[in-house]
This record gives sequence, structure tokens and C-alpha cells, in this order.
Amino acid sequence: MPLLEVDGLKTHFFGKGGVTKAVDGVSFTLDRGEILGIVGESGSGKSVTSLSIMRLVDHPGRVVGGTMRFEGRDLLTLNREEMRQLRGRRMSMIFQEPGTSMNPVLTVGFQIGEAIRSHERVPAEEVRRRTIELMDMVGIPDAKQRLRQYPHQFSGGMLQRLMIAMGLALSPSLLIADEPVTALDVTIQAQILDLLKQLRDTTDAAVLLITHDMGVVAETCDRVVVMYLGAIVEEAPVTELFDNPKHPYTQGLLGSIPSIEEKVDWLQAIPGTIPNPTDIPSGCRFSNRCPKVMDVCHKIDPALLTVGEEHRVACHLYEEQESRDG
Amino acid sequence: MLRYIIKRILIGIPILFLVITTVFFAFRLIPGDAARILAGDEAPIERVEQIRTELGLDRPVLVQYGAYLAGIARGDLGVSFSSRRPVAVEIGTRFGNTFSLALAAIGLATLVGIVLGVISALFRGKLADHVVTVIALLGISVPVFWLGLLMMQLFSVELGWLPAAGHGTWRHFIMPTITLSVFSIAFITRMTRSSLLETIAQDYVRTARAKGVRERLVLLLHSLRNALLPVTIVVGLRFGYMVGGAVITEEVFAWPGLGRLLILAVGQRDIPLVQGLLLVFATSFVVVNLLVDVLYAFLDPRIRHR
Ligand SMILES: Nc1ncnc2c1ncn2[C@@H]1O[C@H](COP(=O)(O)OP(=O)(O)OP(=O)(O)O)[C@@H](O)[C@H]1O
Ligand code: SF4
Ligand SMILES: [Mg+2]
Repeated sequence: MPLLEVDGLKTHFFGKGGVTKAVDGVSFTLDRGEILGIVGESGSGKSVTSLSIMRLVDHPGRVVGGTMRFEGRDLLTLNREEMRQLRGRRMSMIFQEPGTSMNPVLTVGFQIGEAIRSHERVPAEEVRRRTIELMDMVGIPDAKQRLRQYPHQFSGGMLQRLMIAMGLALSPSLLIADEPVTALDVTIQAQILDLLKQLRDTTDAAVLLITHDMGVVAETCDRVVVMYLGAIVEEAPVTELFDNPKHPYTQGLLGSIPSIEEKVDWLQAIPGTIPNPTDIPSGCRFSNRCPKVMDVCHKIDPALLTVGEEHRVACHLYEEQESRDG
Repeated sequence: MLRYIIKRILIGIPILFLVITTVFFAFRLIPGDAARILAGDEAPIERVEQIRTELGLDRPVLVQYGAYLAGIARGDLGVSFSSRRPVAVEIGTRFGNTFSLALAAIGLATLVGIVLGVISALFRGKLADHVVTVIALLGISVPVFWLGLLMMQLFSVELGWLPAAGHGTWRHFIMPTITLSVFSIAFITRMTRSSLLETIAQDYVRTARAKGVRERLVLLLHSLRNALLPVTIVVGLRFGYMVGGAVITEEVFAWPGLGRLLILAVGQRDIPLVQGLLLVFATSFVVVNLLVDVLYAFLDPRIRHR
């Protein structure tokens, strides 16, 4: 049984200007010890997907469909307290902006310790000892002293390490990292990603790594999900995706970069503009930008089809192939 | 932290000095001859000149200014024209009344304002929020003297529950305290509401939830604690105003404080007393601000470490 099973997840925002279908039927699974990347342009619904799993979507957003099973439990049936007990203990999330994601008026030691105290009744001395241990583990020098300092006294990279320490305090089985390195410079990025990989190796935790950056995906992930306008358009193991991208959108993203190590600005990678998610094109959601668009594409929304081992794609170009093969 | 406090005090000193100087010279520019006023219209010119010499008003302005500064340094604010008693004594006997009323009013305003503000924010867009908003709007727009008289009519004249005026028991405090705090309640309510709404949407509040912090703590420790930072400043400012600005409330309820004294002193053109009062008001304001700054630095490490 996979650790996390997301099936047909729909999360919509009910704003004044209409319904934003931020996540509109997303399905994937995640195994223990696996690092799954979610990539996609800005606004494709990556963050909303991860917040949905944590059940932290704020008003006016709501999960309106689908199921999410985590460690065998149906997340949508849990009450507030049951959900709180999962957060930070079984599943953690670290956020894109380390600078604003920690409380500026509380010491970092307090905030890391808080993750422990929220779930276990342990004496203050033990919380302190474990906090220092965690800070050591994520590579913060001088933890004994620095635990009394405040977030503004740390650099962005150090803050992100602190966030990771906070997330790992109780060895959760799932760590969701929403663009954990976007705000950091390249060398620090590499260190943080190494840390995530190490973590996976030592604790067998699963990591859901959300990123804009194909280089990060290539370096870190085992499998990738490509999202476009609230839906998954392609999913494959990392090497397969890079060697054999099927979806025109993925091809566009990969084709425009000379090497996978090099960074690419997603917004410039593919011509045309992303439609507003309140107004998703009928048929294939990529049809208004797709270079291979066909008549059928405007009428029918392509389903996710299996086109190879662990390789799925949502595009009419591969429908015949499947029916021939199958 | 200590360095910060010292720095704040050092900034406060020139401000006070500026206030003293401004007050002093402003009164030298007002038309009218202080000695003549004091002597009365009928007094012979010799008497006027005698008073002028007694008070040192015949000396050059700069000499008077120096004497005034030297006096302040010794705690001597001059002698009241009308009562002939030292200004420092006149003020000293009433300062406590004004201060205790201001303290009661700011206490009430802070408590009620924060509670209403939190309710308003937590029920944003719901009935409770609208009710609080209307109350706050009324509180900001209602004229203080009208409210005071209305309460007096109701609770003293009609119902006879509370003393209409004067000073002495805790029951005398009730109506003046409410009257003086109404504007601040409204102000603090609005401030708390907007600040809390802003804080609740912060990334670090989401982080707290993401690590499973209990909702009660998310609200108190992560949201409200931070939301109250700007409220502290408003509370301090309002308190500073109250110490110097309770004129109407004190007049309505015949409260023997500095505000009434000011009205009296202005009416009698008692220049030393007016000067002394303005000085005390300004000093209270500067001191309160200093305390607020220190408190703020204590609550917000980002400032403390600068
Ligand atoms: N609170 C909200 N209210 C209304 N719409 C929202 C809200 N949060 C997200 N959305 C919408 O949901 C869609 C998906 O947003 P999401 O943040 O998941 O994108 P993303 O893929 O994480 O993008 P980025 O790469 O910029 O982080 C966007 O169109 C966004 O406008
Ligand atoms: S379904 Fe059609 S429009 Fe959509 S990606 Fe495939 S070819 Fe392009
Ligand atoms: Mg995002």
C-alpha cells in the first residue's frame, strides 16, 4: 500500500469573480522512501495540492472532490483534532519563503520545540536537548547558543534548515517541501537538496518536492508529476521523463533547455499565455498553446493514459497508440 | 536593549527642550501685558511697574528664558498669577486625579477594544463583526460632552445610581472613565481588528498550523501576540492624549484635574500656570512615548537587536 494516495482531488476557490478550479482532478501515489517531484508553471496548482493534503486550504478555498488516503486513513473524514495530530507528527510541510514562514517574535528554539510539545508531553529539558540535536542534524553550527536567537538573526539558507528541522522534529513519514530552495542561492540550494535526500535515505520518509526548477527535479527526484492548470498532464520516472517526454507541454519545457542542469524560466519556455484558471479551455486544457493541437482537442478532455512503464500522459496524440498496444 | 533605551532617552531630551523653549517664547509673543493684567485695569501705573519688577518681566527676554530654564531644572515652574501659589504645587495636587482617571480609561479602552477587535476579526463579515463595526463607528463620532451629559442625565438624575460630579469614591470614576475611553475603545477595536486579520494571513501562522500547534495557541501565541504589537503603540498614544486632553471630560464631571485647571488658567490669563501645564502635558506625552518604545522593543526582538 502506498504511503499517500491522492485520487481525483478537486480544490476550488469560491471567489467573488467566479470559481477558480485551482486543483481539478489530480491523482497520484507516493511510496515510502520516494521523492516525488511536482513541476508546473506558476498557478498550475502545486501549492494548493500540497495544502489540500495538509488540509490547510484557507477560505474561500475548499476541497470539493476526490479522496486522499495517508497511512491507510482517509484524510477527508478526519476531524480537526485528528488532523492536527497528524500535522507535524506524521506529515510536515516546509514553505517557499523561509523569511516569512517563521514567527519573528519567538526564538527559533521555541518554534522548533513547539513541534515536539504540540504532540508529546515531555519535560522542557528534553525538548531543549532534542531541539539542539535537530539543529545539529540540519547543519546549524553552535546550536546551543543559536537556539535562543530570533529568525531575523539567520540567513535565508539557515532559516530553511530551521524549517526542515521543525518539519523533521517527530520523524514524519511524509515531508512536503513547497519550493524549498527557490528563494536561496545555488550553493545553498544544493546543500538543502542534499539534506532532503539524506533524510530520505536515513529515515525512509517520503518527500513531495514542489519546484519550478527542472534542474532540481533531475538531481533530486525519483518520479515526476507535471501539472498544468490544476491537472496532471504527465507523470513518469525522472529519467524516463527527460529521455522520452510525451506531452507537448512537457516537450516544450524540456526542449527549450540545452541541458537539464541549466535553469530555465518556465514562463518563457512555451509560447502563449497560461489561461486564467477561472476560465479553463474546453477540451484539452493545453489546446490554446499546443503546437500539435487537433480538432478533437477542443472537444474532449484527454484522460490520463498509461503509455509505458509507470508513464502516464493526458493527450489525444497517444490514444491510438494505447488502443493499438492494448 | 539597554543601549536602545538610553538612545531613546537621549532622543527625548532635545524634544523636551524644544517644547520648553517653544512654550516660553510663544507666551512672549501673545499680545497683552502680563503685569497690567495681573494688576487689574484700575491699578495705577506704578503698581503695574512694581509687579513687572517683582516678576522679573522687565529683564531682557533671554535673561528671563535663562531664569526659566534654571527654575525648571530646580523643579520651580514659577508662581501662579491668580492663586499666588507655586505652579508646581498647583499642578502637583491635581496631577494624581488626572493620571488616575487616564489610567482607568486606558485600561478600560485596552481591554474592551482588544476583546471587541478580536471578536470582530474572528467573525469577519458575520453579524458580530457588523455589530462591532457600528459600535466602533458610533464611538468615534459621538461628541464627548454630549455622551457625558447623556449618561449624567440617565444614571445620576433619572436613576440616581451614580454621583453626577466630583471626585472621591470609585463610583465617581465610572462615568468619567467611560466618557474618556469611548473614542479610544473604538480606535483600539478597529486597530486590533485590522491588525489581527493581517496577522492571521501571515505565512508563519500557517507554519504553526502545519506543525500541529493547537488552534488556541495558534490564535493567542502566533496571531494575537503579533497583532497586538501595533496596538501597543496606539494605546500609548491614546494614553498620552488622555493625560493632557481630558479637558472636556473633566469639565463635564467637575473632575478636579489638570484639564479643568487649564481652562481656569486660560480664563484668568495665568501665564505661568498655563506654561507649567503645557510643559507637564508635553512631558507626559514624551515619557509615555518613551515607555511605549521600550515596551515595543521588549516585545519585538527585531527592534531590540537593532
Ligand atoms: N487564497 C486563494 N484565493 C483564490 N485563489 C487562489 C488562492 N490560492 C490560490 N489560488 C489560485 O489557485 C491557483 C493555483 O495556485 P497555486 O498557488 O497552487 O499555484 P502554484 O502552482 O503553487 O504556483 P507557484 O508556482 O506560483 O507557487 C492559482 O490560479 C491561484 O490564483
Ligand atoms: S490533447 Fe491535443 S491539445 Fe492537448 S496536448 Fe495533446 S495534442 Fe495538444
Ligand atoms: Mg506555489
